[in-house]
Amino acid sequence: MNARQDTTNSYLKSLAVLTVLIFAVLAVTSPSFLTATNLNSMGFQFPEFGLLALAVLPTMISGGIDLSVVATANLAAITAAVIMKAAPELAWLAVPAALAVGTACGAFNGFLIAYLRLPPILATLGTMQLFAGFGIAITRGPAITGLPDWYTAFGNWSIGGVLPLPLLLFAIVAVALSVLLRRTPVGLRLRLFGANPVAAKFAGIRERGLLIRIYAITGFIAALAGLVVLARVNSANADYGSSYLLLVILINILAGVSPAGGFGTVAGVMLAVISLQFISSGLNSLSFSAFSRDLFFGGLLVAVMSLRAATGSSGFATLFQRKAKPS
Amino acid sequence: MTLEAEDKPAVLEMRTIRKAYGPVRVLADVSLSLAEGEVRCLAGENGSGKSTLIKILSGVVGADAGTVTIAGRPQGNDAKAAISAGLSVIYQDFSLFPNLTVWENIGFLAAVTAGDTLHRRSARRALATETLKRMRVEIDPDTPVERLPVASKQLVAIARALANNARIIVMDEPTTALTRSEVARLLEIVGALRDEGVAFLFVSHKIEEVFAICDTITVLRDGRVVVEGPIQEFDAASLVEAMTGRSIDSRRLPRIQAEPTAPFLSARKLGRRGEYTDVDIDLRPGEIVSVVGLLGSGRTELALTLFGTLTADEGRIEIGGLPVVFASESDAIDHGIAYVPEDRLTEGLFLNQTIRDNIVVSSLEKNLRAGFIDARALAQRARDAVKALRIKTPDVSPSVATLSGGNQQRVVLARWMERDPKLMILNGPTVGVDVGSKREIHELLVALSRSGKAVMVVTDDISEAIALSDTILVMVRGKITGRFDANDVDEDQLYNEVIKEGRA
Ligand SMILES: Nc1ncnc2c1ncn2[C@@H]1O[C@H](COP(=O)(O)OP(=O)(O)OP(=O)(O)O)[C@@H](O)[C@H]1O
Ligand SMILES: [Mg+2]
Repeated sequence: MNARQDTTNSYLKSLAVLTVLIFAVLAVTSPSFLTATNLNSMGFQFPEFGLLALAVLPTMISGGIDLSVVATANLAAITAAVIMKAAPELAWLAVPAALAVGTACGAFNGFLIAYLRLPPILATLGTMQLFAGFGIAITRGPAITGLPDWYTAFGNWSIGGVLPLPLLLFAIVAVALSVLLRRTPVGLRLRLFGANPVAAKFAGIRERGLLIRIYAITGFIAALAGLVVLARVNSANADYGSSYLLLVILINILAGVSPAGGFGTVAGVMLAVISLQFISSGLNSLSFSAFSRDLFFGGLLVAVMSLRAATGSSGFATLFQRKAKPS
Repeated sequence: MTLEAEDKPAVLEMRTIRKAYGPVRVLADVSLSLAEGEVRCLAGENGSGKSTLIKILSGVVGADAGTVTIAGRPQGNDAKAAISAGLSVIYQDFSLFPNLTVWENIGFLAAVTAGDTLHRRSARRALATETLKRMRVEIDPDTPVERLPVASKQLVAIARALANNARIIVMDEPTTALTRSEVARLLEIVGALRDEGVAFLFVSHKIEEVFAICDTITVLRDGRVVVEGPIQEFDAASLVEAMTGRSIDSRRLPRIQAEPTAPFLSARKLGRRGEYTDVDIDLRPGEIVSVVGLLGSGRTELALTLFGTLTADEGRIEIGGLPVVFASESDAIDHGIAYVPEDRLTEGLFLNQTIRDNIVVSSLEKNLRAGFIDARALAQRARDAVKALRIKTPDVSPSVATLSGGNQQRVVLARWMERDPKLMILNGPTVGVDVGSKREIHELLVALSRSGKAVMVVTDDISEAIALSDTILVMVRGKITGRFDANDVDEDQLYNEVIKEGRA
């Protein structure tokens, strides 16, 4: 019976404080952290998984999840790469085609969930394999490399030498998604649907159209992430970034998104992305191995979830409440 | 009985309880005591603080000041200790576990207090079966609770309290969904337990029940005790006046007789296998039609069919003379039909979301500019609705879970009024609403219908049907067995019609 709105806000505030704190600690303890090179390289790193985290956000607010985002991103990147290599005169088609493929993948997830009533976690676990399979079928295994220079130049271009293009893209998507969630009927219905699907039905929310739209949006953002990756690493690969999936879910949990649906903000995801990037660079500059970083992230996920369960602001408490107060 | 009760030791004492949520003062210096074998009624309007007092009593919510003593022992803020001290609470929203079966739910409390580490299945199941038998209710103990209708859920919640061998039973509106005969049985059970020395604290908005069952009354208004005393010092009118601060008319609402018009929606020979058959109904603008029937008479299924949730197997529905088929609720909504569901908490509300969003969810189009929501206008519209329906809240941004039960019901009503429907179907529109507000909601509905809307009310509250309707249809076992002009029928006559099993 607590006013969740308020706890969401205070949670965001503590997350912001945490982010600033991490920044301050690293700035003091690690000599290489505050250098221009490091800041710039962070600006190129986090947009990819930041975009993936934003992609998952709407599905989690609706009480679902999309495990296929990384696979979708890869399939979109492969589509773009194939077009650019096969038909240089049609290269301008590569980006729209990749976005279309991503959107279609998402809409397909939405279809499975809305019409076949598969639980989102199972439906997208299946399509994760399916989309990766398509990718392998197209590439026949090895990565596609040797993209046109103009394209990779995009990925490594900083506006005025300070604002990396991927970062700008991330910011634009964040703003657009935030407007979508807060200021459009789709966003509001999505949140209410996540909070109580039965009441949503009685309130006249068209569940099927809504779900397909949400998952299609997710697919679209995932495809953008795929294009960013493609430009940066200059290759398309069906199993790139498989460790991103856990990171992306960790970000959403850390962002205060409720796994039971109904809560979650873009601002939270932004803060979570940035603080995790700080931590990751910090650990890097203190020369921890990638392995110990995963260990650290895993620990963090468990710690955040336990803390939120203990303070009653987690989705798990909501899940429990739903059981305890059905009527 | 009251005099006897006074000699008996107090099993429960609450002294100068104070509670505020932020700036909102909910309880101010409330004191209350309960003796062995006493049945005390806690009365008050929606939002007067009854449920909050009960939550403090049971240790679920902490008080800001004051003491709670159970059986001579002062209580801290500990729900489990209160349960072992012999207190059992049936909350307004029952707190059952929907995915567990009936017997698991009934045996649950007993298992908690006995500190069962192993799941003692057979013993718990036997206890549940025996309790249900004692209450003379027929519910299959192996059904998952989520599949039960509201009334049966309520009975299961009561059975759980009984199974726990409670010495003090607190019931927060236990009878909202029960029919007269079920209420009568519950009152019998209460009577029997009282003779065994069990004390009761009973919250109900149904005045007849209060007089039928209670020995003493405490009346709360705005979080203060306004009067307190033995039942003999009250009559219905004075109790209502104490609660509301004004006198409330309980007679049939005056109205101008509506001109006969062409029906907005008619159904002919409508039927759905195993639920209802051969239903003819006409819903006209400016007319209120009530469908009264017992639980399981098919009344809810009929309403859900007209709203597109269920589909009929036979017969037809026409709107404005043209046949229609609803593929889903949204189709019905597009035709201008609104439905206020029976079970407010699972079907009506988005509990942890804001009051604002709960009100505007079905009418977002009204505040769209180029596809975007005009947040300020939206909030203003929600605020206007809160004012119009007198929903008791400081603002529209708190979650709807912070509202008292009756105010939550108004939020659902507000949602549909915002939508401006042509036909409003209401299933139990005043469940859990206090007498004063009930009257207000009835007045609202009459005004709504006089403004040219068709209104259909599904209810088991006979006095509500008479006070509110123009036409009353009685439904028994899936058939419409009687049609009455609400002017020419009295409660007893109607009640006899409703319980005429199998006459059809
Ligand atoms: N968690 C909360 N946060 C803020 N306000 C609350 C909270 N819980 C209850 N309130 C407020 O306290 C007041 C009393 O609520 P309570 O539920 O005790 O009323 P009630 O007498 O049980 O009403 P009803 O008859 O409608 O059930 C209401 O105004 C309600 O809005
Ligand atoms: Mg209450």
